[in-house]
Amino acid sequence: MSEVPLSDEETKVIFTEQARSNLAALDGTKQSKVINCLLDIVRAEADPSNYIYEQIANIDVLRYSDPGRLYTKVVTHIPEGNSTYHIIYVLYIDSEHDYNDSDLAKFSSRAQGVLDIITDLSSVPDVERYLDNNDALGESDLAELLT
Amino acid sequence: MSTENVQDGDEQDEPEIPEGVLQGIEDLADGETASKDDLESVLKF
Repeated sequence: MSEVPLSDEETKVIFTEQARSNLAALDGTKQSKVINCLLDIVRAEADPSNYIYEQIANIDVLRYSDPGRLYTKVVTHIPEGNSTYHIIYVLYIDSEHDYNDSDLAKFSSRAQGVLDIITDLSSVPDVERYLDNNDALGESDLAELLT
Repeated sequence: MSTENVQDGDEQDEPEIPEGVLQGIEDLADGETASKDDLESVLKF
């Protein structure tokens, strides 16, 4: 049996405007599954990297239903040296996992680099302020969305 | 950061992803995040 390390840090979720738009296009049942998936991960004792379904380059894909996928970036143990948070950046929400060629784009090395840069918080002096400025949601926020 | 910076590149080994993911990365770079109220406003349950 493999061991999953427990985590004392708090997990936060940041939704991009694109992800909000994707969420708006889903029916209520699928929306509920998305929020519940994230809430389960936030509440879990293990850090969120243990729940990554698959990786595409430096994108971390979470699975919220049989076809449903969340394209995210999971960043753990921040700030470095005083690990307090994990962050799940929800970049895009997919419901059908069935694409036409025109719906797909190349994930260039430059775009991968941009993602790494903007999610590298090592130079952020105040992580609490960063989380506040980026509308980070915690466990109670996600739970309230479901009520 | 502009769309061109994120979306250009045509290397054979570059994986394909839904185009919206690139928009999500741009949103994050531009600070375009959704608040709890923004999310609540689109929920249908």
